[in-house]
Amino acid sequence: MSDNGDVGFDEATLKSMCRDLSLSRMKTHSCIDDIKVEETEDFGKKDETGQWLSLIFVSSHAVKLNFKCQFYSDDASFFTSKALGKDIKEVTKQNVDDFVKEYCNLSAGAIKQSLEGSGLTSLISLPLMTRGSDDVFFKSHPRKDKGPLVYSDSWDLVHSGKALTCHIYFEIYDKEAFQKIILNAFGADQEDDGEIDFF
Amino acid sequence: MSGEAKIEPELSKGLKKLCEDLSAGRMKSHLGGREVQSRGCDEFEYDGDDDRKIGKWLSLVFVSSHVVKMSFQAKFTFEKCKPLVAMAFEKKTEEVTREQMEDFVKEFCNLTAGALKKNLENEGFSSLISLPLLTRGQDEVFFKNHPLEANSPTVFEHTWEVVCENNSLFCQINFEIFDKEGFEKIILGAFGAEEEDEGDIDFL
Repeated sequence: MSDNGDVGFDEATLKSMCRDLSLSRMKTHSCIDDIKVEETEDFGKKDETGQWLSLIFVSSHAVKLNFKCQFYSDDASFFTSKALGKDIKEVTKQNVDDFVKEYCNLSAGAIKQSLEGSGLTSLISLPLMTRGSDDVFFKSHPRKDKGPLVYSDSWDLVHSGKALTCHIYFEIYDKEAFQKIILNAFGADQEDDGEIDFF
Repeated sequence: MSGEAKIEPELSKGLKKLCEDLSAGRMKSHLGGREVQSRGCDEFEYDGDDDRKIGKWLSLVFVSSHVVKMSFQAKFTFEKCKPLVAMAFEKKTEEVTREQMEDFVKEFCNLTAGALKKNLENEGFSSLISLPLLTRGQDEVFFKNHPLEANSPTVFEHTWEVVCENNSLFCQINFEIFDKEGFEKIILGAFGAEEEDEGDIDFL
């Protein structure tokens, strides 16, 4: 959902790209095939105790983004145990941290790669891990009313009642360049008559 | 290098001194009371002639309130950090582990940002502080304002180093100020001084 009204690009396309990439990376990473994407409940309203956050940044001249995975240890331990082929009781906190950080790295890396289709170059950070309540430090300041165009989305990845919450947050500094990037990210080129050629 | 301070020059000077003094004081406690000085420096000095980013690390802490968002960063290489950690742990430099160095710098950031938060809260405003993070030095670019950001809030930056027995740690502070008037009031409160209309300062 954009925070700035008319964003000038197809939000549904961007939303579906981010959700699909995050889902496919989680399926591969956790070795679970039937993970579902669901609309997230307001994570901020949940109990902050035991909540963790892994995040990663991507930046270019046109756009700056962060991808976050917010989770409770119990839920993330379940996915980690499947990935490592271990009993859930044998999974350590270090295992969980590494699993979620690597997942963020894979998802943000895939998004970066998609956005680079039009020749844009960008930088990617190392994944970080911190407590869930520190989410507030990685959003626009509430008083930053003249900032860049913002697009954000949140969704859950769910399997057997266990969920990981994903957030994507874009700050768009060059709207025109970003529109081009999004079109190219799908391997499609919209022609003047409105038709789309798939390559 | 100090960034372009758009706040009053006197306040800017005082704020730089406050940051330097607090960081030096916290490093002194962290090193068991050893003598620690602070000195202004150019960010270039951290990178030196070596523009490779390999082996450089960064620890940072965020503080945020409705008036201002701040990040305090300590930049280091394990090689240069080792003697400081050896002093703190009273060990030989060769016995210092990487984990001890990471914990040492993260805790230093936590102590310094905590002290700044406390000082800035003298005016009764409340703020939040993050856990300290640790990442590679080149990732500092993700914690700065985007160069294309127009209409950005007032930014205040300052870089300095804390030094103990010729061993230094580079420090950087970055303020994004959303309410300049509110911020100036807070800074005056942090100095324990209140400027009167005629320009005199009463120290309380």
